[in-house]
Amino acid sequence: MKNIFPRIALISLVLLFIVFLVIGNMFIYNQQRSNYLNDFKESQQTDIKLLSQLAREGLISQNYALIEWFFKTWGQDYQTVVSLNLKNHNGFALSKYKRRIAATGDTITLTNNIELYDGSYTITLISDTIDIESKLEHLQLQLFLVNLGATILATLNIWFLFRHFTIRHLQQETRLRRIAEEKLRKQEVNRS
Amino acid sequence: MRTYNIVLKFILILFFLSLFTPLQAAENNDRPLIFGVHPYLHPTTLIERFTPLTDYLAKQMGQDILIRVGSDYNDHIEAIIQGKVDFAFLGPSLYIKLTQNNKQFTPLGRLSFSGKKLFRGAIIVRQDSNIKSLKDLRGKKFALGDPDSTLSSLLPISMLSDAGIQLEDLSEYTHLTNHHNVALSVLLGKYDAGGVKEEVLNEYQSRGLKAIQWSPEIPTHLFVARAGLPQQKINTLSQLLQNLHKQTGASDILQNIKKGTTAIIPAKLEEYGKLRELIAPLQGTLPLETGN
Repeated sequence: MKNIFPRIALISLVLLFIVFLVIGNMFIYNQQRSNYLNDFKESQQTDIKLLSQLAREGLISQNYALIEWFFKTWGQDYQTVVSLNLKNHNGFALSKYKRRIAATGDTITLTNNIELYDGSYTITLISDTIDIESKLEHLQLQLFLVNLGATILATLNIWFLFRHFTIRHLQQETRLRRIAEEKLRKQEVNRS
Repeated sequence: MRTYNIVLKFILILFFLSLFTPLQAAENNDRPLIFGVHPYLHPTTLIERFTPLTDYLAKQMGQDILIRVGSDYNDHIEAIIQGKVDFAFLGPSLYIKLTQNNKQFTPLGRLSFSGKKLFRGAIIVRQDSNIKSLKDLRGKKFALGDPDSTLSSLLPISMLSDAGIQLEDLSEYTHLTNHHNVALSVLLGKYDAGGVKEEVLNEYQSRGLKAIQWSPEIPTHLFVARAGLPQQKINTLSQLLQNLHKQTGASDILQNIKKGTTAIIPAKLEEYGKLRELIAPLQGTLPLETGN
C-alpha cells in the first residue's frame, strides 16, 4: 500500500499539472488566434479602403490600365490574397487577379462599393489565413516544447520530493525500531 | 625679371587649364546616358521592359544608362529635340514628327519580328456589339490613344476618314493615355469602339474584344540618337543594338521589349515615307522629300 500510494499520487499530480497546462495552452492559443484574425481583418479593411481610393482616382481619370496593373501587382505581392476583382455594374471585371494556389484554411471576403456618376463598381478581396495558420503552427510547436519541458521538470521534482519524504520516514521508522529492539534486548538480558 | 614673369604666367595658365580639363573629361565619361521611352504602356511596365536592354548596353559601353519615360508623347519628342535624352525608343508617327523639320536624328535600328518588319493595329469593338463596320460608328463614342500615337490615334482617325466619318460625326471621342486604356474603356462600355495595336487586341480578345477593321501595316518602332550625340557613341549604340540578336541571352532582352521581337535591324528614314503621307493631313507634316 505504501509503495502504491506515492506512485498514484505522483501520476495524479502530473496529470493534474498536464490538465492545467492544456487548459492554459488552449486559452493562449485561442487568444492569439483571435488577436491574429482581428489584426488581419483590420489590415484587410485598410487595404480595401486604399485600393478603393486608387480605383476611384483611376476610374475618374479613365486610367483603367493603372488599376489593372496595380491590382495585379498588389495581388502577386501579397501571398494571402486569393483573388482581387473590380467589377462594374454590368459584371465586367476590369481587374481579376486570381492566385494560382487554391485557398488554404479559412478565407475572409471583403467588398467595397465605389459609386460614380456613371455607375457603380465593386471591389472584392478574398484572402486566406495562410499566414495566421503558419504563425499558429509555430506557436503550437513552441507551446508543446515548453510544456514538455515543464512536465518533465515538474515530474522529476515531485518524484524527488516523494522519494525524499519516503526515505526520511523509513529512516525514522528504522531508527525507532532499532531503539525499541535495543530496549527489548536489554530488558531480556536484565530478566535472565 | 621679364623671363620670370613669362614663366610664371605660363605656369598659371597651365595650372588653370589643368583644373578644368579633367573635370570636363570626367563629365563626358561619367555622366550616364539617358534613354527615353514614350508612355505607350504603364511607366513601371516600360521600365521593366527596357531595363534588361539598358543593363546590357551599359555593361558593353562601360557607362551607366538611365531610363526616362515621357509624361506624354509630346513630352518625349520635346525631350529628344532638347537633348534631354541621348537616345530614345519611339513609334513611327513620333519619328515622322521628330524628323519633320530636322533630319539630324540618326536612326539606330528598329524592331523586327521573325523577319517581319511591319506591324498593324485595329479598330475594336466589344464582341457583343452590333457595330459591324466603320460606317456603323457614326454617332457613336470612340476612344483614341495619345494624339501622337500611330496605331491608337492617327491611323484610326485616318481609317474613319476614309470611311467617310470625321471626328465631328462621332457623338463623343476622347484621347486616353495608352492602348490598354482604350481597350479597357471599350470593354467597360464607356466607348463603343477604339483604336489599338494588334498586340493589345490579342491581350484582351479573350475578355470580349474583336476587330472590325485592320489598319494598313506600318514600319515598326525604332531607336534614334539625339542630334549632337558624339558619332562614336552613335556607332557603338548602332552596332550593339543591331548585333544584339547574335549574343547569348539576347532573346530574353528582345522578347522583354515586345513579345515576338527577334532582332533589331537597320532603320532608314525613307521606310517611313508611306506612313508620313498617310498621316500627313492629320499631323500637318510634309510628305517625305525624295533622297532624305
